[in-house]
Amino acid sequence: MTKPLLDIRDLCVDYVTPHGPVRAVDRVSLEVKPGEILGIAGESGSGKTTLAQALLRILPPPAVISGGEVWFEGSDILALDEPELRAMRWRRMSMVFQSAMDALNPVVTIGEQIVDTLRAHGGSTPRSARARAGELLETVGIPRDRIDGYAHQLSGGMRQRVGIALALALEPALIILDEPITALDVIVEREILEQIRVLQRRLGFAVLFITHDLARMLQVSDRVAVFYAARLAEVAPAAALRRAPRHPYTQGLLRAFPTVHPGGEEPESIPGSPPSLRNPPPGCRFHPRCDRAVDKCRELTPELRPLGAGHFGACHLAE
Amino acid sequence: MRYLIRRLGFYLLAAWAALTLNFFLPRLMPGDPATALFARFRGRLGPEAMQALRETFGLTEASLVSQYLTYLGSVFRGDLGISIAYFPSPVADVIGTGLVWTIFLAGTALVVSFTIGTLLGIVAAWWRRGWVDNVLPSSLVFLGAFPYFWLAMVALYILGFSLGWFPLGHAYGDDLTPGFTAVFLADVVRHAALPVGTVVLATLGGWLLSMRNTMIAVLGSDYVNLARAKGLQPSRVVLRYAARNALLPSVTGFGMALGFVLGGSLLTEIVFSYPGEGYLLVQAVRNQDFPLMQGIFLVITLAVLGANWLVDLVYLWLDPRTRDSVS
Repeated sequence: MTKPLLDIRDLCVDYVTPHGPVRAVDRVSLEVKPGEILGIAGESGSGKTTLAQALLRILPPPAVISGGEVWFEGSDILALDEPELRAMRWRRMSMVFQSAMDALNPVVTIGEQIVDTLRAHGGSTPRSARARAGELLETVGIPRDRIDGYAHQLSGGMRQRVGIALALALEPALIILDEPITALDVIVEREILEQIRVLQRRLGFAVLFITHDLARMLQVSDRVAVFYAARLAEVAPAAALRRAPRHPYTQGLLRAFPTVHPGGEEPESIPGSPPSLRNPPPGCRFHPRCDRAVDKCRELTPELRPLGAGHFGACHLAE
Repeated sequence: MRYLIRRLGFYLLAAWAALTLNFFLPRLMPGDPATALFARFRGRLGPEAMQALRETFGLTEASLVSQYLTYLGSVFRGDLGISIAYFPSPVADVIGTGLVWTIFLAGTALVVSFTIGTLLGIVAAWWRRGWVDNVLPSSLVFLGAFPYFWLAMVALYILGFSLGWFPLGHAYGDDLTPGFTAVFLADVVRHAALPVGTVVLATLGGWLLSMRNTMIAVLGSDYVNLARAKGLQPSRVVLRYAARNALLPSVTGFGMALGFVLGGSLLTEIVFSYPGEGYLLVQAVRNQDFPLMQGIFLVITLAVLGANWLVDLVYLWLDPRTRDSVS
């Protein structure tokens, strides 16, 4: 078995509020192997983005990491000091932000925003950094002469490509894609995903792919982790998850997508809405929406346990 | 470029409107201002002053249209008539001498206050809940809440009168002849210190707060978070990503304040007997010097317009988004 690139152990993130802490990531343990695409699915507010920001230690206040370890390339990220963090950030782990609209500095050229990243990590002259920036833009299909353009001169899809070019700049070992396609239309979305896949095969980086679009994720990812209310509900290889989801929540999510095959089942939504993290239900957090819930589900928190080859689930009913 | 010309056209239009108002306002007053003024001086003015007054107001026997054209013509030549309070100096000369001192005094105060306030705003936002953020905004706003003339008089009484550290008034010592000598310039700075200092103290809080608040909003934006994620030096994240964007609203404020430099230093100049535009305006009002008043109003209007145009220019340079939305 290969050594994981990223090993998250019992990570907890709290939002500190006047009414006490709200746990947005609750004892999450996950591994990402080198060159792997791990998908993270879950509804809005289930803690996906918080997890991503915790990995780069860029959580905005009032969020704080309140427990656990994050091992990445042999060191615990949570124990790094500020200069060590700066050296790790982007060179080893980079990120494509959710909103392409807001992730670029509006008053600085896109070229400068790539160049300053290259230069901050040393080893390049202004001229070579600029040449590399042009190269990166071309890699993601943006004409080189846009290097002196500004974010507002680009379409949403192009901005997201700039975000990807930026993430590739230092050829990191892991790229986090935080809902990179949410704000885009379907055609652009397909193009961008295709591009990410091609680049990933060529450059061999690992990807943490976050989205609420489970169907899209199953096409792209090697393995998938499903979040529900700040906890992991199920982790499995993509094929296994699609064929035989074990957690009722995952099953519900898959039923919620329309099938393209003729005579397929009608999409069916999960009744109810996700619980408030301020005051989560006891036991299994999904039990108020689960049609198979038994007494045990209401009282006892299910732990993530192995359910077969690489398949893990947090459900009392899964055997 | 086309945008700039269009803006320039707008400002010319506004300037023309101001000039026109300036022409018609005296004519809307009941009676003849020139005669009323002349009467008020009870024969202390000669007939030539009466003539000057009439000409200043354009009150000749000619038709209104030709009066108006004569007025516009003389304004363009810089001829604003003859001052009564400073008779027989032309209004343009009187305003000219005051203008230099006002621009020096209020301009220095504005630039100093804006620079220090904005820098402190950046510091307060970056080290939020640090001592700068905890102490300065509230205490400076507290100071700014006092009526300015009261603050200025207390400073003048304690630092100028009781302790004698600063001169009590005027722009320079009476025993000095103006000129670019080290002694004279040092004396000018010494005389300006107290008025500039009090204005800075009274206005600093506003700049600090506006920069701090915008800065805090910008620090929470995705592009600043991305800048941190990229592993950039904190100084670059703060200055190039956060402060550079947070500066934009403050620049608008600076431009507006710049326009009010001429009219706004009235109280400062009265308290410190400073020979600037505000002091002249008070003299003009006291002496019913309508030509001087009109001239000062005109200069103030043009200054506001000019400052606005300057801000348009600076904004084009600072914010690339404005460049494209206009071409």
